[in-house]
Amino acid sequence: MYGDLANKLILDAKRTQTLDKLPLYQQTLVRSIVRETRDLHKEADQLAASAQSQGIGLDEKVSQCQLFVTHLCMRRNKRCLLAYERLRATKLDEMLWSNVEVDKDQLNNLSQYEQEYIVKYDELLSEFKGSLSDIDLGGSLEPPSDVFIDVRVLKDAGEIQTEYGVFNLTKDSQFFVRQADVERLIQQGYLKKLS
Amino acid sequence: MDFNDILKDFETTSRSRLRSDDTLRTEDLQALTQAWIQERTIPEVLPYEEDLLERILERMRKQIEFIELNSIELQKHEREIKLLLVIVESELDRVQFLIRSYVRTRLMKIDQFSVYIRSNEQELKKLSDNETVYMERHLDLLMELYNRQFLKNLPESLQALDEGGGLVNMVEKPDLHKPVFVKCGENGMVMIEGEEVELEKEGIYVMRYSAVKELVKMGSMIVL
Repeated sequence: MYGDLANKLILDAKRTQTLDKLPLYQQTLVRSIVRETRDLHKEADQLAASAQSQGIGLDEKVSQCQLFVTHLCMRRNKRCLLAYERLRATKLDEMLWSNVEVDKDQLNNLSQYEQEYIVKYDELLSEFKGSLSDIDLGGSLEPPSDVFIDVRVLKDAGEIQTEYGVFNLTKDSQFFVRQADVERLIQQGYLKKLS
Repeated sequence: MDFNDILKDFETTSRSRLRSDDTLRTEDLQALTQAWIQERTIPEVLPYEEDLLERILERMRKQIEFIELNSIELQKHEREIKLLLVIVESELDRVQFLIRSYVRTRLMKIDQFSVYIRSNEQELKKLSDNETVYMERHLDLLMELYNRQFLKNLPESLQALDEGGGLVNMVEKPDLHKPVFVKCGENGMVMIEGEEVELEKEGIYVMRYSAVKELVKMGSMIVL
């Protein structure tokens, strides 16, 4: 059935919404949808041509309906493709905004063009964040509660230098630090805030 | 003039300037808070508060300097300075958060409505220069991504990204019919679908944004 492949793509997109990281890019699925759309387009042209050559006949409503459905399917395929890509791009944007590192696994799941997109969007973001450099635009979007907080280290990260001294980040050690300093590390997953 | 008169004159002018400086600061902070609330509640993009942000950023830089100067000599100082620093830093954190959330909310809306904003002169005026540059480049990047990924392989008639008609409009416009909570500043009346609704001063209402848009812009209603 026309549109089944697009359905699969959309189901994948829906599942991605709940995930933290992006799953593998559906290269084959996308290619087959594009192929299906091109075939539909050819069919539509043929239908239009034959309708013209036959003139107005008894089958007018049937052939009109056929043409209409073909066009609708083409448009639906296009919409599904765009929605899929847009969802993935939005997720990538979010990750880049919160300074989350895009690790190797994640990079492998992206298509070649998505990888290029990340690099360029990161550039754009750095420029924009730089224009308001006093405020960390990638910082937390929750209102700040305390100046100093308790944090626990989740993974080893060596030594961190702050204005107030050097902290040695070994797993499971706890520190009482200024929130602003460690926000970045919390975002990247090295520290966990204790409430 | 008498020397005493000159002194008195100087005192009153400098005190009134100080007082107006203080009130300006509090007013600015309230204005920022209100701008933040508005930006988060209202579905469309509002004009960018260039001057307000400039003033606040300027003061922020001075505060950051003040904190740095005082923290360097931290060991020598009394407990009072430490407490003062904590208070100053807390306030700084909060103001930074407000500005951050304000800018990010705007960018989110801009990203959502990029194609629409780009095609509309009035909407373009509401963006700051930075935001306009961001929007253009982001749109370019996205279009490049779509094109190379699959769009150029589709038949030509389907390659547009701003089709209007059909079942769904590709260009997303802000939904001006979204309901918002508002508080009335003064008595007034609104037209909703041909009916006049009376609004009392200090009353809190929830209604569609399209109905109260003008009043909010004029300032006689506050968004909550």
